[in-house]
Amino acid sequence: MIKLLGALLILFAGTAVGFLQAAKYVDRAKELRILIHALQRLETEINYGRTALPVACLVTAEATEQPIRELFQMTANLLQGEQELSLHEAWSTAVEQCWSTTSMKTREKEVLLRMGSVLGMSDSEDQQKHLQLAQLQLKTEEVTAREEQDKFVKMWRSLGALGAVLIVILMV
Amino acid sequence: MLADIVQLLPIEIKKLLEKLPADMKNGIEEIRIREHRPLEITLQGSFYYVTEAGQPEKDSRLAYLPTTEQCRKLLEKITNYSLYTMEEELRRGYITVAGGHRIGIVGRTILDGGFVRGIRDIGGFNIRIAREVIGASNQLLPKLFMPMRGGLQSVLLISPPQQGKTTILRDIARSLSYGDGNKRLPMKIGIVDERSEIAACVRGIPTFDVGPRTDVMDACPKAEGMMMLLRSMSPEVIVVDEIGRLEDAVSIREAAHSGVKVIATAHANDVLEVHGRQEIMKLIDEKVFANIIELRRSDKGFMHRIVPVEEIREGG
Repeated sequence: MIKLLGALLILFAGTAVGFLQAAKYVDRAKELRILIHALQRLETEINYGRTALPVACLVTAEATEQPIRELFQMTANLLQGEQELSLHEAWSTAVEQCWSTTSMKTREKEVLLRMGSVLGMSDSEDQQKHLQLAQLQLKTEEVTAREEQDKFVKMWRSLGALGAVLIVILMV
Repeated sequence: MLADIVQLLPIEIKKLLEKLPADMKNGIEEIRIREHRPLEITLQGSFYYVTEAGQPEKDSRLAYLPTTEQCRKLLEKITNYSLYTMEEELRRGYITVAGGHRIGIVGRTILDGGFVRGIRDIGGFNIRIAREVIGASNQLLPKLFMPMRGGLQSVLLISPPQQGKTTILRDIARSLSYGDGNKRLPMKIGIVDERSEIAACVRGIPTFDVGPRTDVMDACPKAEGMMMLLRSMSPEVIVVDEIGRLEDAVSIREAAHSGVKVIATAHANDVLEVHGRQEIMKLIDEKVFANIIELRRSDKGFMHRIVPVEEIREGG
């Protein structure tokens, strides 16, 4: 009886691990999409609205889903804070702190950090160029992410369950 | 009054300035911040460097040197982290911030077809602290009225830079707009504030008290602004700073012809120097201005001398 219960637990855990791993691939692609949309929004605010960045970040945050929303929300909050951070510092801090809540990888993080170092520091034409460059780079990442998703999602889902079955068989 | 400015400054510089002797702190007229070069303040016509310990000093070698980081933070604060919202201001070379303080900026210019499109690599700031002195024109004001010629007359105020022209002009606008609660009725005033110095508008709303019946055309070329006000706001008096160009003269004539009084200022050390300014001399010859007023600032406050127009014409 106890053996059966243990086997069921292992099966369950194995399947869960597989599904969680698979979910990471799905989430990364989804988050990249949201991030690209958010940057498009920011670009519009800067270029056509000529909105100042603290407000532009808030507006972008409002129109964006979690966990990306937190990135813009935190940047806006940090700018209004007491520490007198520069925009670059505020943005970098927000990226670093939010990153663990996302499924994204270091490559897209580097894109964002690079973009942060020039954000707000030039005329709108130049800002547009930098924002579009960042979007382009993120789109490339998104394509890779989707390819990986197609490749690995099914694999992880079956791998988790099958691995658990293997362990059960070995133990019996 | 310094508070608006101090909160824009990087922490390190803020602390230095707060250590200055109190009377000096309150008298600061300009703060000059140049990257990697001595931090300077000017007050009452003289200048001091500020040392690491926050003391005034005449020797530049002892002065505090603002860092690149601090200059970048200052620029971010002035532009609200968004240089792209200030393209027009950068083209003109200065930014007006809340409180009417004007921050001049130097650096490397970006050219576009031979015209300056903006400034990048900004390496120097000159923060000019604006002071609103309510009542600065009290002594002068009654002399602008000539009962024999039907009340308020058009005048031209002249003075060298930094002698309080704009302060007086603003106070005249304020006083005329309020009236004196007695015989002198409140008047409709139109201000053309090309450099956002008179009314210090932030998003179109004056931050200085320019009176309840005053309309301000902010950041608008003077000549065009005067015509716009004439057409749209039916002012009784138009107040305008630093005239001198041909277009300005055309608009002032237009105003005079429609019975609107003009109170204007011009850069000049004294009346003699006015002779060199063709357009202004023409206006004087045409008797557009009833009086020319020389302004000076001394320890006792604002001084003025009224020069009848005839005297200037004969002098020429």
